[in-house]
Amino acid sequence: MMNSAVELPDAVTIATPIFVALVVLEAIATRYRWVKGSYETRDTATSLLMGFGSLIAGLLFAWIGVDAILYAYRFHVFEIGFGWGAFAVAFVLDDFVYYWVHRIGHRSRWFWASHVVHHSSQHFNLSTALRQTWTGPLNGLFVLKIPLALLGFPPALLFFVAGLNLVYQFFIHTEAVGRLPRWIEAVFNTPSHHRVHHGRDAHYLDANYAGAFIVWDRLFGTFTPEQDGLPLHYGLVRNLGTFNPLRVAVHEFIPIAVDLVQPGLTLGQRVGYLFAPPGWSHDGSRMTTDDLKRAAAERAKRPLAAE
Amino acid sequence: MTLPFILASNLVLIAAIIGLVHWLGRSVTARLESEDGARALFLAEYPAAAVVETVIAVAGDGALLRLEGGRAIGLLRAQGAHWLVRLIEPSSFGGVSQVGCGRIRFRLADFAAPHVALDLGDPALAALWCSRLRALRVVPAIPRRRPLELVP
Repeated sequence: MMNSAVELPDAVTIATPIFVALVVLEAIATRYRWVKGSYETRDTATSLLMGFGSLIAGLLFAWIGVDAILYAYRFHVFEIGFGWGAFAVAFVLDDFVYYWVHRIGHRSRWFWASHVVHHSSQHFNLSTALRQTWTGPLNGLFVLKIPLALLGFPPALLFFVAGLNLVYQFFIHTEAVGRLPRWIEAVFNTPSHHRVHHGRDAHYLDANYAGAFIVWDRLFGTFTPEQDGLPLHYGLVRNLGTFNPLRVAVHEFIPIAVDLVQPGLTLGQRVGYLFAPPGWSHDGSRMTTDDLKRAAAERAKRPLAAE
Repeated sequence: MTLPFILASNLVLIAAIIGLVHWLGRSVTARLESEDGARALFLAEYPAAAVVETVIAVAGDGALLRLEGGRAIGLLRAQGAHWLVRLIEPSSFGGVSQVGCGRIRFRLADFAAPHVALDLGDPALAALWCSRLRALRVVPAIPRRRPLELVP
């Protein structure tokens, strides 16, 4: 076992040259149709600038979550340390926490307002992986990681495995890779599973929240496989009409503010506009993803009913 | 490496990748080929809508669609290689900001798509659609349990 003062590298920093090289390679390969996929200049620019802005936001605000975890570790129950076993268990548990952070990020509007940025491209390529939120460090979801620190996983280990997880997820943002061997598709999050996650078609909404292990989705009932016969379009239910990174970064927070200051709402309704699923409204005039799925399913049944 | 150097080198790499993607010919904007194509694109997003009339911008980079009932107008606008599709209702229309020489520019009450500019090529046509858009403001919106926004 290594000592508790061990310093672990930032996996994302180390992997950045690989990210750049692979984005370049994929852009060229898709241009000449060697592999499936598409790039568009302004979309790519927005994705990369969102990634850059996310780096700045991390420098400015990540200390909030970091300090909270460091503080929580003072009260840890077990001495887990930095052994290989600890590393493996930390990676799995961190991925489990990531699943719930990600699921909440889609199912509650306040958290979705940060995460929506990552889904705002109508393309799905390696540059999309870098299209990251600027407001994530401020939304408070870091609290879900605190139990791991209280349990006794050293913060440095937690930050290291979280970085590894992000690096893993970069590689699954591509159309260039079809399906991987069945046992890999069964256990790991793959490009195929993650294409489904980025799909805006009703049949693919709110599925495959996994980070590295798709088993969480299989376990908690959110797994949807990619189906060859079904259309797959990427982006948001209501796509953006801007490439401006500043607008992209905050575009969901503005309508939240507008909804919150509507006159005549009860406190519960205002809370609903903040934390209920995206698309919720106090008068039912909007549609959540559940509504959209139900409506699409009903529409799909109609021709059969007419026969 | 210092932080300013890291940030500066990131920006240089980003600029280089953007330049590469442009050089690879990936700056092409989506184009509408026909009114049927425009209608199909719009109905894919709003399948419950009934399109009465369609006008396509000269460059094929957008279209306006008159819908049955006259309480909303459909909009298609190229968003890079893809499309921005919106249902312009009285509540989402922010007013015409400029019209003339066949061009029409209007605002939407939509932070993610604040402005739309279309060149319809014909001043009379632009004026007609401008008046239809302005008429939205005097049309009382009918409260609906379910909006037309249904993604297939």
